[in-house]
Amino acid sequence: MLFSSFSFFIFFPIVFILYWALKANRKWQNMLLLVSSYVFYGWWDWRFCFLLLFSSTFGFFVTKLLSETDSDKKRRLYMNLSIVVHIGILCYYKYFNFFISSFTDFAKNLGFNVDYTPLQIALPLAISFFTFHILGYTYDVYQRKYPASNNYFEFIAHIAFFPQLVAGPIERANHLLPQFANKRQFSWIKMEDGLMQMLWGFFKKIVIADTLATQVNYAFAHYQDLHPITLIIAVIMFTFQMYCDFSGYSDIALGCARLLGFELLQNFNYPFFSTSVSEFWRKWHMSLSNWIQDYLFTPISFNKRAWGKFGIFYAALVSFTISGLWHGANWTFIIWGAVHGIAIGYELLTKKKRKGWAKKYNPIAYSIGSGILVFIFWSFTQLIFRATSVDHFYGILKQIVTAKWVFQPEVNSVYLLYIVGLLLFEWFQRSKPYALQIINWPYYIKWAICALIIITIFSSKNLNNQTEFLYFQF
Amino acid sequence: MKTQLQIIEELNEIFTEVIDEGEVSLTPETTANDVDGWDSLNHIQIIYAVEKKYGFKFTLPEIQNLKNIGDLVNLIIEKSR
Repeated sequence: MLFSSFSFFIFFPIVFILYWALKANRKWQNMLLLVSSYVFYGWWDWRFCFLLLFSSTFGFFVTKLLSETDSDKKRRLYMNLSIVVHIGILCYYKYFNFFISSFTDFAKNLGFNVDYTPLQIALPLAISFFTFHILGYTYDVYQRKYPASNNYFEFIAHIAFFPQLVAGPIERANHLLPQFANKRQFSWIKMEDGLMQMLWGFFKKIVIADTLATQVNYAFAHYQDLHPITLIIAVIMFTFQMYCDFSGYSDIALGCARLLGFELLQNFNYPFFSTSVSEFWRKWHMSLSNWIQDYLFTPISFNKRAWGKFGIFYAALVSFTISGLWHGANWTFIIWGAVHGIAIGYELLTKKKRKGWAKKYNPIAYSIGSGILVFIFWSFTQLIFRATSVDHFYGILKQIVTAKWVFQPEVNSVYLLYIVGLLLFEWFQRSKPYALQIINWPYYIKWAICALIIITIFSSKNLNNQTEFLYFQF
Repeated sequence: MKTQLQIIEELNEIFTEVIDEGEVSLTPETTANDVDGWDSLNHIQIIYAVEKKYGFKFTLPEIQNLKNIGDLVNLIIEKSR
């Protein structure tokens, strides 16, 4: 069920009313969340529910067994079993065809005659997200950070919790699970706050992202006939389409959870005001970056500590390449991840030197200069991300570099004003957890702004013509 | 058996060399926030230097549970036994 679909507008109010009507009984509330989450998920394809149920049940019991033994050998065995099973399922659904066809392409290049018809495997939605969620939990218990859960229903309900299920934020068991174990308080302020964050998410998705998408899709499909300036504008537009789409989704998720008395992890923190790639990653898809840092980068760099600085570079490269592959079975994602890994590795190794440079220049000019460089780098990597294949990426890049420059964009560049407006508003509101957090403003201004946003959303022609959230494919 | 004070003296040398941003002076209460340039990255390099100096290995959870220099010193004493 899409957040921005008609079915969700029926589904959510029903869940909301029943949920708060059961306020006195936390167990029934959790049961309602469990059932409604499976309905929400099964709306796409009911068969997916079995996989979700299997993964969370397996995660629960294997972690329980792990926590009940003191033998390091057995603990490691359970940890490895969990990794093999969860990553195995993920690889089967997501990467099987990719690995086989990459291998057959390679064999063909060597002159072997191999034939392969890809299997018809439907990718279950949310699989990358809940797999990481469960694996993180097992690893934390393995590291003795907190005890294993003893409540099966709370555990599977917290994995399936519908606001965060399909595209994150990738929750942590020690953050979300205690909220299932505690009583939820109804408060009007929280309701207002939750609704505003949802509204802001819908606005970014339906009004900004879906509008930019029309221009981006046109430019990426017809790049061979377009001027470099058009393509550059399209890449910038895609950078913000992705941002508004995904951060919009996260805002809806956080707002929706708040209406049910839950707080999810913050996923975005105004990334476009970053002055380094590392800072950008600390503010972009934060739940994934933190996951990568805790479960890949730190263990790898610790493991390779004898390698000195090279170990750090290696850890950055490996963890970001894996993060790229996590996004999808395509070489473009792997290259995208590796390029970010190299950039992060470079920044880590030159930290001291860059501190020295910063002292030499005017701090404001240095920050603005760094911010622009980071933005150019980020947008360039978004081009790799959006391209459908390496050839597609190369084709667009070649067109930008070699085609004749004509300063007459062939996409509607008026939409760039959306981006400028968004950035100005975000800059002004950058100390808030989300830009539309205006609950403390005078009520007539606050409600006028909200009314305006609602009218804009409902008058948008994108409303009947929506695209799926981009991160649903991952 | 080395005393807490002796170990802190030796840690001062290691920290100063690894962080490379001037003299470091530690106390049992010092945390990463108190030392300029002590971040999660050179933390791992510091740990490696400590391992080399005292001739044992840490595990990742041991490192992640440290709250301040006092914790590190106690861990070193415990592991040297």
